[in-house]
Amino acid sequence: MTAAIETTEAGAPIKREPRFSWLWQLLRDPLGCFGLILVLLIVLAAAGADILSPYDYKALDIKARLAPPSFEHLLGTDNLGRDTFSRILHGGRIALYVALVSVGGSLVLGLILGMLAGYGPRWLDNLLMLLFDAVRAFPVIMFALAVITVVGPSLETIIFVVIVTSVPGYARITRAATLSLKNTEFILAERSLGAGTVRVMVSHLLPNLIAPLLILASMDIPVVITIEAGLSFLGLGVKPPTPSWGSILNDGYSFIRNTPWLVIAGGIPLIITTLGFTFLGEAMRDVFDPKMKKDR
Amino acid sequence: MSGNEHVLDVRDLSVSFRTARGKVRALRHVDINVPRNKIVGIVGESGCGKSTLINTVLRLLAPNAVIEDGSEVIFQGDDVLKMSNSQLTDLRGQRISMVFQDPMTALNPVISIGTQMTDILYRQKIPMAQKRKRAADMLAQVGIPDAVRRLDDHPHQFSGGMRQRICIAMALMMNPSLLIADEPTTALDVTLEAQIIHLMKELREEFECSMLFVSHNLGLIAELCDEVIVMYAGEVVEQGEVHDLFHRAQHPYTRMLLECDPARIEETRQELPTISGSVPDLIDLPKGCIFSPRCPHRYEPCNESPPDHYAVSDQHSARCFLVRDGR
Amino acid sequence: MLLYTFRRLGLAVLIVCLAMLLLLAAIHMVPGDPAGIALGPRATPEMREAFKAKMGLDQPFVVQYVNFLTNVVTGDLGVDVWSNRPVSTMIGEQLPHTIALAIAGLGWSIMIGIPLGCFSAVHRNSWIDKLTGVLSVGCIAIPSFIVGLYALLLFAVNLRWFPAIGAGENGDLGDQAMHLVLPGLAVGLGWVGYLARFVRTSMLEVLGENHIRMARAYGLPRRRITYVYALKLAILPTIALLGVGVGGLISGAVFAEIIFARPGVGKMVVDAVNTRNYPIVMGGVLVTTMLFALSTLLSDLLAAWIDPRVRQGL
Repeated sequence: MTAAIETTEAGAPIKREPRFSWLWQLLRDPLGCFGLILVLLIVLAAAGADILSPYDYKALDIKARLAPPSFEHLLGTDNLGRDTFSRILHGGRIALYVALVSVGGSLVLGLILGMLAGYGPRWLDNLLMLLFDAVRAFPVIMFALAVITVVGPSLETIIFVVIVTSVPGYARITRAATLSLKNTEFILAERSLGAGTVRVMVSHLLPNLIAPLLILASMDIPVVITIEAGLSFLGLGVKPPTPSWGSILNDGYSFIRNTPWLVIAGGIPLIITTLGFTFLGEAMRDVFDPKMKKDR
Repeated sequence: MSGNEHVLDVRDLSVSFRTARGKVRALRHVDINVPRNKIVGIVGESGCGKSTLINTVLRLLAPNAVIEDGSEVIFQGDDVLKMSNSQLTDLRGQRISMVFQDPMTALNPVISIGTQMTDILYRQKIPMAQKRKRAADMLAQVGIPDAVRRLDDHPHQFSGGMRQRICIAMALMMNPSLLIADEPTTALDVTLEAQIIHLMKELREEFECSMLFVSHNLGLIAELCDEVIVMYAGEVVEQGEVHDLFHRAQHPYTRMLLECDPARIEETRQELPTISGSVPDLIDLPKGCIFSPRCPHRYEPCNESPPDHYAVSDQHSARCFLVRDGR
Repeated sequence: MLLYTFRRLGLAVLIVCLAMLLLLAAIHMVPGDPAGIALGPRATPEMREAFKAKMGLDQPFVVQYVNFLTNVVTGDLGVDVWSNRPVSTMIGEQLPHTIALAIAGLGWSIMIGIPLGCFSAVHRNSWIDKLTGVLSVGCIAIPSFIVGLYALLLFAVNLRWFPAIGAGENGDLGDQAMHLVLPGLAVGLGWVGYLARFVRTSMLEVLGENHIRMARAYGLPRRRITYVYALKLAILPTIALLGVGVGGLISGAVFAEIIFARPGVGKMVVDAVNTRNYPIVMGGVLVTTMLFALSTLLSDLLAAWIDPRVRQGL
């Protein structure tokens, strides 16, 4: 109350939107709030994996192989007696690392290619669009499998595959925005005033693009994490002993008749992550882009 | 004033919409009737409650609408507001039919004209061939050439004027007792408008149905209708026999409407006349006469309480203190 | 319509060719020694060369691509590196299983998802609608292989309601159907969510249109308005979504085939990746990509068939 009065007394009637109003809007949406909590949970767990892990994720305890959950091993142990809980915490790191690097890479590359397509000469636009169509013609996993056959499975292979397959999505959005911006009057005006083309495009394009690209990115993160876990589950992702949710699931699958706990424990963080990012992305879309909301 | 004389009797109808801002009182104490075999015109600006009135008669109101207690919509002796869903299904399209404003969007784009027309006859247990014959006959009657063959065409294969003819044919499929036409010519150009009006006149003779004709075109109303109802901001402000009303308009709003009609302006002017001000907020109504904020003849009683309907002649009344006080 | 079909078919072929060109280029660009990876560190240089020659990897890139295309046209996808069986025959054996799985998965999700979407749209903001909204996001978010694994654990290992592995006895349709239940569940669950949401959105849009109001004003029965007049329009964008979504469906089928040890193209390719069986992988990728392109084509044709405006504009 007092703060409000003081600002009025100061003379400037403040009526602008508070800087973090979008955050409040996000938190008012129960599902968005829920999503944010799940995402924070996963991020904190991955960041603090070293502190939070009760055991070394590589440490073997042969006597306690395939143990069910207990106070000693919160989520039980795997076939080599490694503590599942510790492995899941560290697996989160891999998942988030792959997601961040490849979504970030796709974002940057998509932004550049999209602007090139939208602003460059017509033949380049056509060529790029054709290329994007070609990339989207593959079932993603099949493309990944083909690349892995030649290059061999690794973290880098996964990131490469994800970037190649998700760049078209970002590039298309950027291209559409660039095209619609290209001929607006204020751009023509600024150019006639001698502003550099690229600088004008970037400075006007980015503010318009941040929201849709962020929404797409937050929707893409669970997809990427799923691909990483999926390939690791197939034994074609990260190499052991690096822990990944997918490889935990793979171990769990092999021993599914001995213990259900590995499969259950490996699946839960994946579900939490994908649900969290999806709910967050949906809520963000509703907040930033009310037109797209269409009264969900 | 028995039910036999009037096909439709709307009595003391009030409809409100619940919104985030509050209750929008879209219709307030509306009393109108449609006599047998007559065409009644409704005039008024956008937002005056014409559409709400029509939608209430057919019970097609949005879910946030509230029909206030005491309202009655008597159609051929039955209260539409008390009808069950099955009674409503029986009413719509069969006893009351409707022609919509925009023929370009009124027909389903992915279903053939023939199917859309014969579907209306679903209540009749007659063979399909007979239904199709009836549909083709109707199309021919509204002036669609080569009607039998065109039954299998889709709406996008017809022009706007043709589509409105199809809509009229559909409305008359079941020989309704009342036809509601909601600005049926607004979306069409002038030549087509004249054709459609001509068609409606012809059909009226043929089908002997009463008609409720909504328009903001005074010329059309004068040409087609027997009686006129002038609505403003959810109220009936003046009603009467068409010649009487147009020649001896009493309510300032009606007079201003007539002045604003481009077709009636005789002298050459630089600007088209307009009614200054805008329709009042229907959430927070003025205490007195609803039109008083925009009325050039406003005097003391107008701010005190809303006026009643005062008779101008036998079949002509206006809701204005000027009439009561003879000023 | 016929001309349109041919044009769309031509475009599909072009895209598939381009996609394969892209794949070969990508494989060429990334550094890697497929022969070394396949044969292990103890392989002699001669063995590697021989291996490369067998996979056709020793030739220049353009030659590889042209060879690949000419072979594809003649139906020759090369031979299995290890067993020397023709790849096309092997794929021919596996493909029906994959297609059966895809149809089962898509089929049940269409049968549940589309009516659910319609219901949600008609009873908008009811508790069922809200519940459907949250559940469908959940269905979309959860990866299909998690659904598969949990379904395996619960229904096959613990409850023993359904068989865990294989495709069932040849010729015994009932047995084969039982073997399809869990994989179909895994492949289709996400689609139930997708379809319910998508149909709901487009349905709400259509229900607000004028002609629906007119149909109601003419007293048409509610069910006919919803399921014929509105759905026929609302389904059009959904059909396009289905066509594009078959790519994801194939990815889901790969996992379902691995988890439930079902025969199928997906399992064949994954097994081939593990043994670096290059021709089989390429054949599998080609066939699934073609399947994907074909389904997109079919969905376009289906939409054109339903929508007279498109049909006539062709």
